[in-house]
Amino acid sequence: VIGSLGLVAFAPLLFKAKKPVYSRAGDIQLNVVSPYNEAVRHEFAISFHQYYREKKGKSVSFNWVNPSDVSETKGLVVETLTNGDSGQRNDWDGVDVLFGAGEQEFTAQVSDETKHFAKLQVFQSHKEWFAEDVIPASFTGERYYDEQHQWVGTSLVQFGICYNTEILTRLGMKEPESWRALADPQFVGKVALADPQKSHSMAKAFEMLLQQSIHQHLLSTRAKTAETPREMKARAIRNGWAEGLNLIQRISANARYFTDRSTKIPRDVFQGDAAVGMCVDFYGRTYHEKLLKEDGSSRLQWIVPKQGSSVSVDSIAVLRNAPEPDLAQEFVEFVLSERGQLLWNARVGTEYGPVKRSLRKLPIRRDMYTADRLAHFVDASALPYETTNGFEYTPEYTAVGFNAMRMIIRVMCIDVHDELVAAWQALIDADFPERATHHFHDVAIVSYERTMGEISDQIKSGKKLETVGMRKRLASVFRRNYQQTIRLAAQER
Amino acid sequence: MKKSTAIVIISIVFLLFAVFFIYPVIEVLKVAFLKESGEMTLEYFLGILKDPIYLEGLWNALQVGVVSTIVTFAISFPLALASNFWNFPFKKVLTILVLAPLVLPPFVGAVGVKHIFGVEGAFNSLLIDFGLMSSSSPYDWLGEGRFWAVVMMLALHLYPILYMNIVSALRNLDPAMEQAAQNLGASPWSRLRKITLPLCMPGVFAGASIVFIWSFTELGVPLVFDYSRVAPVQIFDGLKSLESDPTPYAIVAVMLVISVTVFVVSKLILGRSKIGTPSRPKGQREIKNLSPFAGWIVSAGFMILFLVASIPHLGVLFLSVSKDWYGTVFPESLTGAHYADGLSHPMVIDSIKNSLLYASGATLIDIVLGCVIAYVIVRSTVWGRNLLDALMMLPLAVPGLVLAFGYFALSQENEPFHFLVEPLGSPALLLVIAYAIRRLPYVVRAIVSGLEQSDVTLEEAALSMGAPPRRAFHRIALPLIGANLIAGSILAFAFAVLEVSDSLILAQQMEHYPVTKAIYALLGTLGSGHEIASALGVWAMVFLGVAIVGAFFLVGKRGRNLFRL
Repeated sequence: VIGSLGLVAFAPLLFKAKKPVYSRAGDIQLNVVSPYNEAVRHEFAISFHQYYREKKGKSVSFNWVNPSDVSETKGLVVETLTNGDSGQRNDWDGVDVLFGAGEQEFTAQVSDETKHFAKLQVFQSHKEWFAEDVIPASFTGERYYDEQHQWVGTSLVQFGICYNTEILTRLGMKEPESWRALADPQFVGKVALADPQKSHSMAKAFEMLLQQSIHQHLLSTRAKTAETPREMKARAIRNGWAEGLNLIQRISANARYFTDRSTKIPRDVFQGDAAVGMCVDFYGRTYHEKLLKEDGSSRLQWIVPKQGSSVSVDSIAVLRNAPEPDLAQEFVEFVLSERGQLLWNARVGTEYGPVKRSLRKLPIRRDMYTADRLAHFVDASALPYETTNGFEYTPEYTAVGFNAMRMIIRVMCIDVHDELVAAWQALIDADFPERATHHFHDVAIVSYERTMGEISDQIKSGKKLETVGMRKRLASVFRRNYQQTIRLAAQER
Repeated sequence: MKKSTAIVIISIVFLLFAVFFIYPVIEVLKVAFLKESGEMTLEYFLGILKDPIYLEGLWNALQVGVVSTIVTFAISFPLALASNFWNFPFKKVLTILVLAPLVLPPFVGAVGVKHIFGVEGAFNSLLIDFGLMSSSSPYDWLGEGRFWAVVMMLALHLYPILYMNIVSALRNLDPAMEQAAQNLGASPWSRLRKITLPLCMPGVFAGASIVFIWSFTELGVPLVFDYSRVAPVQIFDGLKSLESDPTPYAIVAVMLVISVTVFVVSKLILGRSKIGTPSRPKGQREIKNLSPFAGWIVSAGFMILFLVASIPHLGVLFLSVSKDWYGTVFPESLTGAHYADGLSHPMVIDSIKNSLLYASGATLIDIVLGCVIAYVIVRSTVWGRNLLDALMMLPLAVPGLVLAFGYFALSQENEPFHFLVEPLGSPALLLVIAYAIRRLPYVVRAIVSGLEQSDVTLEEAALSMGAPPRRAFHRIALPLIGANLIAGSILAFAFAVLEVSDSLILAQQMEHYPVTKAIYALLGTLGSGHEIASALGVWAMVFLGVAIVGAFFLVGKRGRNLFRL
């Protein structure tokens, strides 16, 4: 018995591969906090290890840490249980580099009084990289590096729609082209969404959806008599916001869930439990390739919705108290060098390409998209700087209320999801009677003015209990609305 | 048992429990009862009872708990009776096979289930192949029936707990009681109702309370099946959203109150056999040989249950070797690549070593603590033993996540538990203690029910013959409860290997990951994450399977058959 137990316990040793060079003890260790998956970590560590050895003759070992283990868990637990003493947190002790979060997370750290980040030397040593035709300061309205040089983007990210072609054929539906398509009543229970409270990129996607709606209203709104241009613009923004929220309501009503694991979305879509989902580009591309058949078809497709998605960046920063500041700066330089940039999308086995798996992300450097280099790209046709689909992110419309928007989606769609779905179903069954539909779409309580004003102020005030109280009040309003919708729909049916 | 010894044991156990259980829980719960200014308040606690969304979440959790327990009982009671009273073909093998659910963590099993009962899953494909469903509108089992998916998943995972408890209870019944009833003309049905069931109530209670509290506080399964309006998921979501919101902590407090109430009330009603403590069996029970037809029917019943309970396992197994499994009964093409990818992963070997270390350490602590605690509860008359009894069930009533958060907060630098992490630079000690505390109830329950049913006069006889108490315990009580002890330890070990919440929160660096966290991390891998994680899941199944069968084998060889095989 003991023998067979031992046998089973040690069987995996048969498969044991040699530890990759970077995880063995090296001359010097780099501690990197990164949300990236194993594949990205593996490729960058191997490549940097080699690069550093060639350059300095020393070997680097990597210690990868999940951000959830640092900020989410530690921050949350320590903050909640030690009387909210978050100012004194030393979450970032022992960390050299933060590699791979969105701009907003970095901005939050920089504007924080504690100022976590060091100035990046690469802005001095490679000034030529920060020209408009290499790394632009901003694109589609998104910032690509910090004015104070505390963070810089490394790869491009675009949010879009993944869908299962076979399920769409079965449902007799066209392939989605815009966010609006996800609100089709035929998709009830078939849309996979992430929780915007937990997924920054999901929140960003909802923000773009709102921005798109605002843009459209700005274009189509005509001045009423005696209305100043300013008043007209305010009205357009107000209506665009409300209509965008309504669209979010309908998409959420179709949602199967709001997951906190974003890899689940493309997975459930290709597995057929959901028909469509919202996810980032490289998830879509990875699964598209995984399911590629010999005839070149794949049941999972990913698209950028028409005029509905900006091109943002995943960034990198060096911590102010990094144990190995020079090594950390060296890593940043490597990631932005041609060698580091090509790692994102070059085919396995090509020069500077990954050794094990292609990463399917797009480099930030514009000068990487040349014909000779594109020949080695896995996604040579995804020219992000050429095909923006006409979307321009305008931070002044929504950025102030970003966190308020996250909370609004929570109270309007997630906390009351059961009621939302029931109300939506009642509307569908009754063929969208006017009064009930109007009630369903009533978002006056979270109007543009209120969101950017009192709701944002409340969240920023730091009075968390009051914020929770407000959140519950708002949720109860939406709950009542949806219940009322069900009653009205039944009456009008 | 000497009163002074009992008092010393009780004090030590209380102290250990106070430090490693009550303190971390209070540390978390105080958020629910303290205002920002530090004043005590019931506002948040009562607020939960006024909020329709949280109230519904609690109600749903309660329904999951109650219905899962009923389904579990409906599965395990007939099974236990059959294996206790009858001989039927392949009994030895079948009675081990029905323990299969123990070898797989439910959250991994749920991944397998999703591939079987998904819209394009194996089950629908089978129905379509047989012409029982239209391929143009396959039914969304998991989307439409989330409550039942959760209940069935839990019932099928948890019935071995109740089954093992009832079997040990039945085994300890004196056949003379039933024979007497039979002689007096009682029908089999009324014998079952009036003699057998009441006498094995302590066993039923022991198992059912574990099953209820487990399913009431279960997080992983509802999470995988996207059943979000249920209290544990609400707690989890609340804790993860970065607000200092006391609400999730207040829900924990409400759940704790409900769990303890259910435990105390059901113990008063069910926990004591109405017709007194039965005497130890004096003779060997005569096991009835069924007619070949009836025998095969019973065997078929066991086999069907085994097959149904193995659905998650089969799902995981097929997934671990599939290239693509979509819209077909079986995977279209097979591959061994996921095993090579999964098991060769540097994280995996370490995680296996870690899990073995953590789980055996925890089981060892549980066996020692469990024996002394159970002995005090059953054999002493000292004040506080009933309190101790109730206290022992509390680790089941507190969602694992809460305890894990408590430990996590207390093990930070400058916090009291930091000394557990510091010397080794790893969370090993913390995890061993966390696992031990969380799994202690199984061992205590198993031994208590063994001691309650074993005849105290035998120990008294030994004592009166001059044996010192320790020797009486060692030579008399321990062998009598051997089966219970082993059953409890197997459960504790298996569930420690399968522990999720503590593992996810406390093991931060890859080299310290236990198997469950490694599986969880692999699940999130882009591309073939589920398949690779399933490969490791299959390894865990094989390992625990060998452990459980091995334990039976060891016990059997010494002539003390566990569960009358």
